[in-house]
Amino acid sequence: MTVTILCSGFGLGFYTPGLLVKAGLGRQGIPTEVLVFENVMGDAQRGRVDHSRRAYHDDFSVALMSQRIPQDIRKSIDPEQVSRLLQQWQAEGRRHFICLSGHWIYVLELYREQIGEALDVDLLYLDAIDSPSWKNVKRRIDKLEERYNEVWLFGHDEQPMNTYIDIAGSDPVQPYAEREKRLLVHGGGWGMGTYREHLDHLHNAGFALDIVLYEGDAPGDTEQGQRYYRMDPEWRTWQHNSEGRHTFPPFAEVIPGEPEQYQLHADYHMLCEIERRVKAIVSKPGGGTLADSFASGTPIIFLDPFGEHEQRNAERWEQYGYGITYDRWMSEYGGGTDILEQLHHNLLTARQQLSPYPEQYAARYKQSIQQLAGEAGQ
Amino acid sequence: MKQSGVSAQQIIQMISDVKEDPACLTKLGPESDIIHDAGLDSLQLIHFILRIEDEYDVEIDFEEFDMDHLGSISGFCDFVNQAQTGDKIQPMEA
Repeated sequence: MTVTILCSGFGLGFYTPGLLVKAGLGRQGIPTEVLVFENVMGDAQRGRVDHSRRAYHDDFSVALMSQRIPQDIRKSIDPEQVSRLLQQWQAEGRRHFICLSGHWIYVLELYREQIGEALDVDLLYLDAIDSPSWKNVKRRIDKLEERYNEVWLFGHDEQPMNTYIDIAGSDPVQPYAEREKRLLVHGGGWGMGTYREHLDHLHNAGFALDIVLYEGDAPGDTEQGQRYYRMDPEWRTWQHNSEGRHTFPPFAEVIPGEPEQYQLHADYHMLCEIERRVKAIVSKPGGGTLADSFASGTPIIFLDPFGEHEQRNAERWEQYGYGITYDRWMSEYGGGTDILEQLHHNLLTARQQLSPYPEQYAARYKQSIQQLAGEAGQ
Repeated sequence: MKQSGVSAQQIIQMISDVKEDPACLTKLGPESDIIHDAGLDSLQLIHFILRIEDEYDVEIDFEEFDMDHLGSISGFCDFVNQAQTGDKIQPMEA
């Protein structure tokens, strides 16, 4: 029975973790399909998502305002696309779903009503509190927790973290002493936030920098060991490859004067290879970055958050001892590496005590399949 | 410079600027709906609210904000003017 992993392209944090879960379940022998919410949106609405991405990158205040204004995503759903999808799910007897974005709840609720049966759904939350997609849907649909299984990846209220999303090849974590004195600096999948303002200061603190550029942004100096990277500007989360599958973003090092050669890995975003070998990630506190931080054992130095949910992400990571705000790192620790190494060891210790989400899911899935087979045999 | 008090005509001018559509100046009136008649898409609405907050020195609490306040330009003017004076905004729906 195929497990359907429901992602969204509104941010890479609702997408790449879904593909990592798919890769993890694949290693457990479980068939999966990843779907992206934009594929059940109308063409015009999908075009607006694309337009918004650029606007959010260009002006962080626009991005922050987008978080504050409540949206009703139902207006963007294409009923014909949804109807076709539900027919396909019903024909295949789909019952198992892992949902990373609140936008999909409307579709799941329709499906549940259509087939008149309970579904086996994990709501996989990739933020410390509800992000806007969850907040908006919970304004309209009550008590999701009564019919769906909630998994708060980074813990919730009094409940500590009890799982994480592992990355193929990230274990064993690269020892800290072997890592170069470099920092990875980025603005999440959409290149948002204040990361560009801090480059000189970070360099002056004695670090070489790995910098992720966004779309057509030009690389800067390379004289002091700076390296630049970029996701393929033509790539979109809702696109399929020639085999009809969603992929991790094509990713390339940007070397001035040379053509960019985008590469893909089947099991992880190639940014992970940089995350594994740097001293810390400098970024806004997005959920995808937190997930990567835990998997790679790399602490995060937090820049300004994108909304309240990211603010809470930073607070939780700092409370766990896995990250630190940029200002505190500079003012209390002088931008040094000792504190970062301590945070790295905290991550390693915690990681050894938890089992990966795909393993935990696989155990429950196998039980569920046996139960369904038992019911069918009665 | 922050402005005190907003008029329907100023709102219409702002919508026209955000949409880059001078036809709004003649097409829209005090009773026009900001979403449907003015046709602001989600990104244009963001830019519109940013300008309102910046120019009239108000911060809209969208946890409490009733989207029906966008149902007419005159109604939205009342909302902004009351927000500027700190008066309690009454919900549009009982």
